[in-house]
Amino acid sequence: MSDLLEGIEEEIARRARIIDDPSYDPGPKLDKNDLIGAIILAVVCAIGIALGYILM
Amino acid sequence: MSKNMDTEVNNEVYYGIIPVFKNEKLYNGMDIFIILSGISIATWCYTHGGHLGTSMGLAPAVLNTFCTISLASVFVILVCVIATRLGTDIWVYQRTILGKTGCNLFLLAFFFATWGWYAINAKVFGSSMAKLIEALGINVSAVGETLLALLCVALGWYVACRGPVAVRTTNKLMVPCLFAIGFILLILVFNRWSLAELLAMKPVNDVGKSWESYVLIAEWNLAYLFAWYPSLGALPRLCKTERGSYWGSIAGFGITLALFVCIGAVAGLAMSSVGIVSHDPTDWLVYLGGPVVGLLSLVLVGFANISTASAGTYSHVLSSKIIKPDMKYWQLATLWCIWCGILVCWGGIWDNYTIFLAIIGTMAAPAIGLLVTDFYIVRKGKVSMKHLYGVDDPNSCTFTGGFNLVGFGALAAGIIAYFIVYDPFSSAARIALFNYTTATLLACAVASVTYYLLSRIPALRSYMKLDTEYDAVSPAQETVETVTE
Repeated sequence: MSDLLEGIEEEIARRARIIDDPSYDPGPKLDKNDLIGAIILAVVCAIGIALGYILM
Repeated sequence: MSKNMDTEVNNEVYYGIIPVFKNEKLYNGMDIFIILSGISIATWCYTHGGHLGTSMGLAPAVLNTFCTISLASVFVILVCVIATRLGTDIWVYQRTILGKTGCNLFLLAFFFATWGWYAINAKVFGSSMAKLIEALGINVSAVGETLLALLCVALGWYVACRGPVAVRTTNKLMVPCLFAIGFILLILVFNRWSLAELLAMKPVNDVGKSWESYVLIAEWNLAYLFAWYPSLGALPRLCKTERGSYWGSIAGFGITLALFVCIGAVAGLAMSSVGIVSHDPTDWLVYLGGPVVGLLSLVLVGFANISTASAGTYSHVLSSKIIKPDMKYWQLATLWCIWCGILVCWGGIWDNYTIFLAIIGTMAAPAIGLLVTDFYIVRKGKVSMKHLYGVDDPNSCTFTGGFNLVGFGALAAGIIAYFIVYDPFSSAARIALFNYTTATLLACAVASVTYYLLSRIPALRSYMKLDTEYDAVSPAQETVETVTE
C-alpha cells in the first residue's frame, strides 16, 4: 500500500468516526417549507404539461 | 506522517473522496446555482432544444420541455441533498447499494458513455472557433475543426486541475457569457419573427399531434435531465446547507437548464423555417446575427464551453477517484480527457444523439430511483460513514464478490422495464404503457419498488446489512469541537 493511500485511509477513518458520532451536526435538514415549495413547483409544472398538450 | 504527506492528504478533501466536514464546505446556494448552471446550460442545451424544435410546434414543445424538466428535477435533485448531508459524493454512497466492485464497474460503464456530453461541448467549441477563423478569411478544414475541439478539452482539463475554487471563479466569469448567448439568440429570433409567426410554424420533422408523440418528447426531456446523474454529488457535497443545495440545484440543473433548452427549441424551429435544419447553435448565430453580433456570439460560445468543460471534468474526475483513491487527480483528469478526445475525433455521439441520450437514460433512471429509495425510504436518512468507507470492516460493502445482488437485481429490473416499453434505437414506444409512464420514469419506479420490496424481506435485509450497519458505529474518538477548532 502506498504512503498516500495509507494516509488517505487514516484520514477517512478519522473523519468517518467523527461524522458517525450522534453529536456531529451536519446542519439543518430540509423542512416543511421546502416540501411546500416543492409541491407548489410540481403542481404548477403539472398544469403546464397539461396545457402544452391542449395547445398541440 | 510527513508535512508533505499531510498536505497531499488534505488536498484529497477537495480533489478526492475524503468526506468533507461542515466547516470545510465552500459553496452556498448561489454558488451551486451558478456552477451547476455553468455545466447545465452549456451549448448542448441548444443541441437538445434544436432537436425538439424541429419535432413539435412551439407552444407544446416549450411547455412540455420547461414543465417536464422542472417537475422531474423536484425528485432528481433529492440526490444532491444526500451528497450535501454526508459531505461525500454519491458514488461513495452507491457502494452500499451496488457493492464496492459493482459500483466501480457501473461508474466506469456510465462514465465511458457520459463523456459524450463533453465531446458534444467540445464539438460546438471547435465549430464556433472555426467559424471565427473563417471570418478572418482563413479556411478551416474538418481536421482543423477537430483540433480546435480538442483545444476545448485541453483548456477544460487545465482549469479543472487548478481545483474547485478555480472552477468556481471560471464559472462566475463565464456563466454570464452563457446567459448572454441565450438572450442574444432569443432577441435575434424575435427581431426577425413575431410570436404569432413562430406559433404558426410547422416543424420539419413533425412527430405528430397525438398524446403518444407528446409523451415521446417528454421522454427525451426526462432522459436529458436524468443524464445529469453522475454529476449530482461531486459539487453539491461542498454546499454548506441542504436548502442551498436543493434549491440551488433545482434552479441550476432544473429550471435554468429547461429555460435554455426552450430557447434552443425556439431557435431550432425558427431556423428550420428558413431551411437551416441544424442543431449547432453557431450556425444559427452566424445566420441571425450577421458579421458583428454573430461573431461576438461565437466568442461567447467559445468561452462558455471552456467553463462547462472545466466544471464537468472536475466533477467526473472527483467521482471516479473512488476506484483508485491514491491516483493523482491530474493523472485521472488526463486519462478521462484523452477518452473525451477520442470521442471528439470519432464524432459518433453527435450523429447518433437520440441513441446516446437513451443509453444514458437507461442506466441513470434506475440508479437515481435506487439512490432516493435507499437513502430516504429504506435507511430513512441514517447511514454509517464507517460502513460506506469500510472503516473497521473492509468487507462492509463487499456483499457477494463485491456486488450487492439485491441492488443489481433492482437495477436490472429497471433497465428491462425500460426496454420493454421503449425502443431507443427507433425512438418508438413498444407497448401502450409507455404513453402513460414514459420509459425513464417507469425504469426509475420499477427499480425503486423492486429494491424497496426486496429490502423488506428479512433474509435480504441481513444480506444488505441494513440492520447491522449501525452496530459498527462506535463512540466517536474525537468530539465535534475538535473538528470546529
